[in-house]
Amino acid sequence: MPDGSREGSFLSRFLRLVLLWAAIGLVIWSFGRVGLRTWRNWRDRAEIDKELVVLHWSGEGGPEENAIVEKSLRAFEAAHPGIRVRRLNPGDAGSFYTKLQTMLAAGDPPDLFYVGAERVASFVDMGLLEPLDPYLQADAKAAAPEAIDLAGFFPSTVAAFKHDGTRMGHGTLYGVPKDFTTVGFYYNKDLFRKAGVPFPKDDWTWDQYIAAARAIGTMKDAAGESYVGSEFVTWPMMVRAYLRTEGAEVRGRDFDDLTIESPATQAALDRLRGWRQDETNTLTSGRSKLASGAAAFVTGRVGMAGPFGRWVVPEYRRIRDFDWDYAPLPRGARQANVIATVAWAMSARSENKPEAWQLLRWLVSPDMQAANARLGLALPTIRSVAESDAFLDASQKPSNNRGFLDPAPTAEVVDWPSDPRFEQLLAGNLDRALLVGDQSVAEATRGFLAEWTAEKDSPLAKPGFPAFPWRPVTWVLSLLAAAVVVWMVRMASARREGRAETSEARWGWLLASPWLLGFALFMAFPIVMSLLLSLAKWKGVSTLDTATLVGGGNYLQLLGHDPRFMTSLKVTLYYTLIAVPGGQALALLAAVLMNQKIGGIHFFRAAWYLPSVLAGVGVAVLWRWIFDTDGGLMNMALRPLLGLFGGSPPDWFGKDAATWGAPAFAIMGFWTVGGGMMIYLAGLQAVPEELLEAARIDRLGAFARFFRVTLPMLSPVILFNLIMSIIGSFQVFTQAFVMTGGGPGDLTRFYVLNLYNQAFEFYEMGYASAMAWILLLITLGLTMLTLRGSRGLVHYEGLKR
Amino acid sequence: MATIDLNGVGKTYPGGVQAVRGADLRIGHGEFVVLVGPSGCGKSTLLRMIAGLETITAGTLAIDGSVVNDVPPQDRDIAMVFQNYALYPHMDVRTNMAFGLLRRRKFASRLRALLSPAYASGRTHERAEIDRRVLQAARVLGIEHLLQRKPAALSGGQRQRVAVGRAMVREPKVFLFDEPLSNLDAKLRVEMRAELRMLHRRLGATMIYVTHDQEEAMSLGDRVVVLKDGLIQQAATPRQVYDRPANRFVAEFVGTPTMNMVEGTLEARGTGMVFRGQGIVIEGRVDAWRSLIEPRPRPVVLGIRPEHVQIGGGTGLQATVEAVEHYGDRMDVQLRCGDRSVTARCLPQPLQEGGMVNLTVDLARTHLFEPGNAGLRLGE
Repeated sequence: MPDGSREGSFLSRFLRLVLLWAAIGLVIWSFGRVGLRTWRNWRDRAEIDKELVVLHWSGEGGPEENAIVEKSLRAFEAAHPGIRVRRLNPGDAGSFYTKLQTMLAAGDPPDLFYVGAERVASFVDMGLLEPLDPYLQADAKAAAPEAIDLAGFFPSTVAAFKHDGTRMGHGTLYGVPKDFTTVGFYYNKDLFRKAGVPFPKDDWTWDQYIAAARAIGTMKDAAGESYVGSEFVTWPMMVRAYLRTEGAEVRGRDFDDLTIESPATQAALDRLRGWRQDETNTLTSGRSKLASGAAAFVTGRVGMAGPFGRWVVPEYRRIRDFDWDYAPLPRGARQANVIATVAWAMSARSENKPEAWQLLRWLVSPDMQAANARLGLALPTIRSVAESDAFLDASQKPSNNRGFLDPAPTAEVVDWPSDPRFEQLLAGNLDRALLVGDQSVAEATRGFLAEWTAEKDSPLAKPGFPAFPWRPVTWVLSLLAAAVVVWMVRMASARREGRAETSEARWGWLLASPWLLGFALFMAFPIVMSLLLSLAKWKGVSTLDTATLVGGGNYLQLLGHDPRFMTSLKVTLYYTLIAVPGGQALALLAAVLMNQKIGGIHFFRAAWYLPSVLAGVGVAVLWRWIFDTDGGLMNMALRPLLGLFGGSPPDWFGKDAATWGAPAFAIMGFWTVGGGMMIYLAGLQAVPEELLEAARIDRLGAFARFFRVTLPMLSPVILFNLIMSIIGSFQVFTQAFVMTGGGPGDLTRFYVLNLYNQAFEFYEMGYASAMAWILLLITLGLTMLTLRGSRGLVHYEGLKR
Repeated sequence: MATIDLNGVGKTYPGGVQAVRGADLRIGHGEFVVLVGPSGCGKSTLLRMIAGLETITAGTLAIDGSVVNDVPPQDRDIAMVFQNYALYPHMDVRTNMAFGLLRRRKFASRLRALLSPAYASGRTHERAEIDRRVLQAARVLGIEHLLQRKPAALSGGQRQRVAVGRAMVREPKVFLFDEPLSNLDAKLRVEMRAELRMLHRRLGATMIYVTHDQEEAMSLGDRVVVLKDGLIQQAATPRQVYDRPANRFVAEFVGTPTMNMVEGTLEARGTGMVFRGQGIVIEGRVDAWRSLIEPRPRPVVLGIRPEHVQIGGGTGLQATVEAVEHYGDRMDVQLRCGDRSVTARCLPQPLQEGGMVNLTVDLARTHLFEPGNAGLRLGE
């Protein structure tokens, strides 16, 4: 035995040594990477004058777009010795804006970055973008050979990045468009042939569009399943594109002059609502939904899908089952189209503006655009490149490339006011009429106007708040922090009885110090900051010194004047009301089942717990399919059941979303009761067997034993689970973010999702911080309420054994 | 009060382990029967089968003449006191005791009762009766002042009393005790033993008591049932078990210090007989053993209780004192006699460790068993 134990200690010592070296190696390696770059820069310091940082995303362009940008940057470096370019690509547009925001807020913005036309107004409003006209003029004066010839660009793409402080399309240029797209419908040629409908021409009308949709919608396949005429996405931009073809709009000259209530606009919206809500299978809707967005078309069961731009082409090129092509937006009272475009822009706070300008010119050069055009993802903004073979590639679908190009000269960008909430409010309210259908167009319009007016009239929207007093606040906080440090040092160095205790106390403080430091930096400091920010108005993309002090303004606005906040609170409470009791009852039931002593019970326990360990986003995507109105597993199972009583399953995230949207998430949550089940199971197994036997001897039946003995013994565990699940129910985010994005019409905009929207879409950090604190107070209040209400019902005596 | 009949009762666990084998036992009205044996002998299993907490896999169990093999415990009208008392921690003492009396009705009848005008008064009456019984039991057990407390606030002995009280208020046909005193300290155990004994006399109920402590078994039981390896070895009064152990196991299990067992032979000598074995020779005359004498020396095991080994006298059995344990009123002496050591229990006397003494053993007070570890009793 002694030999064995010595060997064991040798092994564990060996293992410890390996781990130690691994840890050391990791630290050296990670510092090494940074060190190496620093060292290289230092070594090349003689040659490098500047380092430029470029931030972009690839999205649908994928690694190919990455490669094109990368190649172009290296070519630029080769052509411009002394300039190094560092490329950052966080992935898709969502991550891109988050990364951009982080860099901007940190005061370390990238020199060049992508900006979508829809963000120009708000970015300009925040002073993030460098005006480019001086550079263009300088180039023109110097007759530089690389000068950008804006005359060669599609005028509307250039106009999209002009802003005069209130309106788009006028004034200063803030970005040079790198590519763009017009919009229209993709159509399934096979279904058109089958329905005997002629293929759309480039000048087709809405009457022809809806006739084709109706013809396809009345067809059935061999299995008797209906086809659907068209997917018509109701994104605000596309709705406004549709309105423009009817000579209508939601705004007049600018956004202070809203025309959404005008008869023409209302009539056009009513017609769209009617197509979707009053007809069966003409448009995808609650009654005949396959999938949403661009994916619907891929199923081959939808005649047309749109209005989409060029960006779906890479995805649709993978379709092998049917033939398809593209037709631009149909005409109504007039021919109209819109563009979506992205530009290269320069940060107003770039420290290397001349070099950045050089690079910008390089990135929007014809060569670069030609390379990008071959991806098929978008149209080049330089007219000559667009008309070249680089774009008009006849070997690949769609064959109607001209359908994109021809409307381009007259197409106009869809403009937005600098307050990004306008678009969200419009989307949410229009969805109630167009998508959910529980409101008429007039009702939805009134809802939108009320919310937008509240937003505009909010005291927070008015300028004139004093700058946030960072200096005194920093002083006070520093003094407080210093006081805490002094107190801790005194505690650590205080003389105690005996040397041993003094030394023990010192070691204690020393060993706890990494945690204390971590707590101070990563917990205490952020908490204090969020509390301070909740009193401020601060755009998350600006530096902190731009914050203004609004006092309790955020809280007053939230509690008194924000209908969306109240909606999200109601949705969340509704969810809590279903998810918490239902989830706990199910978890307890499952735990009782899993507590049976039968063969293979371990397998069942693992199987029940498994969903709790699966990753959130993937699961959410799966559940989106499960809750699909027509093809989803849930409704396939419910339909025959409810059919017995003459009912039909709900359209979860469609027209029944007001009633069934939040419950759908609760039902989804029931899938992961495994976590709670485990805790209950542990509690059940801690109930002494003897007590249950005593209860049997005391002549109690199985139910009485459960309710009179097991349940009281389990009550502390129930209370714990209850509180945890109440807190958890207020933190629903991933599922809603992935599955519905809060829609339709804010009916699944849970509290935290709303908070996220405020913080990371509208960059209202102060407002979002105030929301976070209100959330804390709500959960705190509910927890206290639960604790108080449980008095006398929870028996801790069973634990003291 | 009830009779209990065990007829070939057996328990075989799914793994094939036989916990109890063919137990035959008849327990009369008001009898106090103690099941005793070393751990793993099946005594608790047997008790739990009587309670209905374990299924019976062989034979029949009858209470008051009716077979209850398939009757669940709640319908057997028995009460049980558990080793860890099994008090409901979330209820106070009063509720713990009354719990077995509450809520006897099924839901439907309760609903009917709710609608009847007599319900309220009936309920009050029922309540009063329960209170009366609880109070009475508490008075008997001396725990009246504890009724409002919860079990966590009680000492071990108090919990024990509550557990007994809970059984008492039920006024069941049969009381079952599963090692109820094993968690108490030695002094309290002796006190409680006496109280249980008195309680039995007072209630006159049928009681079955399980213990691994032979002393407890002897002191409590009207009848002691000794078990080993799932088999009943002997079921008799404590006196009989002590004086006439049915086999070598019972003889060795009962009594402290353990009976001295000497392997050897028995043969005739003159009008009497002589035992020889392991260097020990004892002569004597036991009439009951006459029939055992065979022409050739018969192999036997001789059992001598330590208190029947007398130090002094002159039979010529010589021994060396190896160790002495004083208990004040008596002493246990470890002796080397012949080829083996022998324990003697005697009155205090001056003895030198290492000194030589003479021993006297009266053959008439010894026990004779067949050879082997499970040898049956010989003679009578």
